[in-house]
Amino acid sequence: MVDWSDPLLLSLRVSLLATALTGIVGVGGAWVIARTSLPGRRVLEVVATLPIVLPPTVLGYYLLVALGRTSPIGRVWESVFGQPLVFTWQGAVVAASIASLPYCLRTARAAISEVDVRYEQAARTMGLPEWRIALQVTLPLARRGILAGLALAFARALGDFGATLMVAGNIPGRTRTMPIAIYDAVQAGNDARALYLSVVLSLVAVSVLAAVTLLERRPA
Amino acid sequence: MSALAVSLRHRLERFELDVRFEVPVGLTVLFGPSGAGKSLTLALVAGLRRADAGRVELSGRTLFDSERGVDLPTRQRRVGFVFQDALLLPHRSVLDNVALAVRDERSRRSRRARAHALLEEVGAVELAPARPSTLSGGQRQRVALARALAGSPDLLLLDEPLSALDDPVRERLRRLVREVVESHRVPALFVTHDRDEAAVLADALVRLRAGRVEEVVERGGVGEALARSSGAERELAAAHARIRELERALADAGRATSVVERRAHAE
Repeated sequence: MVDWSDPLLLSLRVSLLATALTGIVGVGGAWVIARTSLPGRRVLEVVATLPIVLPPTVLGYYLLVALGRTSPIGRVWESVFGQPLVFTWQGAVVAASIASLPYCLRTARAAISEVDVRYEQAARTMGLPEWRIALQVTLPLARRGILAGLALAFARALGDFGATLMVAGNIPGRTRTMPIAIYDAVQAGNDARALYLSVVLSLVAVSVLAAVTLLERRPA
Repeated sequence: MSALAVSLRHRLERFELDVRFEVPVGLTVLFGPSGAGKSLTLALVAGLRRADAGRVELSGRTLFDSERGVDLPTRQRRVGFVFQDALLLPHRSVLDNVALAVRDERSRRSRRARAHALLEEVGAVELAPARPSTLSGGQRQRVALARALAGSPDLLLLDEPLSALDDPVRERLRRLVREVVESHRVPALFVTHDRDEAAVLADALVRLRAGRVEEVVERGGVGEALARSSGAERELAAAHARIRELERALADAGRATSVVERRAHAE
């Protein structure tokens, strides 16, 4: 008896964690790009956009090299956690995070840029320090764009195939996420399973799209 | 005795500000036509913009000194600011807007109590739970005034706070501004291009024109100074009043037109 729910649960766990990770890095980076004069912030935005334009397998290959057992990151990870990062579900989280980062960062950056800086000036006259202005004024005023960016990042993380396959492989029950399981089912000639998994993944994706549309259309 | 001493130079693309004046205790009106540099002066005093050169001293503290490299961030200047369009934080309640600005109170509870007392003082206590977007222009400025006072500021800066309001509301708020400046014993710098407003409010007056201080009038001489202002200025003040009337008429006409259009579509 096959455990049908396994790839879905794994996919949800991986993409939720990836969304959390990409949310922290993406929203933080978006704020730095939109609201500071840090040198190199434009370069940062371009680099963070690369996962959109790079072919997923190429992105996956670079990640595999960067995170592999002989790489500095891979060695540090292994010495801390006692197991390699590549070909584990944690590796899948990293791959999905990187693949979805540009969607979160760019959407959040646009939303933050649209916040009227005069509210931030008003907050300065209220005696608030800059970190509180960022957390209590700027981000809340940009919240709809940020939530839309997180939803897009989640959808992208959920659907990642190429980068995840390169970095985490296709290990049943451990790194076989939904998109890889669909590919696997087709390869094995199991059309019913492929259809079932595809419909489930489509429903999740359509829900995300509906959420984004609502967030963008509802008036402030 | 002066509370605030300002000496500032700042260049913009097509404008140069070069002002030097002192503000005594009480309410000083920064008066002049549009484009004289009034709002820019306030922004520089508050530290919302960085002046090219000069000094700002408030009650013996140096807020800005380009030669000594002093440039306190806005939050350390202890100035309350009332903006023309209030700029209440739209995602927080009226009470939060004031409570967030309260200084010198440790607990959340005492901050909210102080905010409540200030809203009471400006006649807006019943608005405490409301969102700023549901307030009228006059109510917003009352709340903005309470918020500006919440930090127990050493100086109150008001940038044309009443110029977008209708006459009766404006009159009431002028009185309120006078009352709070007196009861809080806070020196205030009030920007306006409205002669009546200047006449009603000013203990002292600094007249600005084209980025320069044209005249400083101490207590007692304000009415006289405003009366002897040039014909051109009187014309300009009249023109401003006319523009406000036309804007209002235009807005009314716009509403009327849209009703007509809707009817036309319906038919």
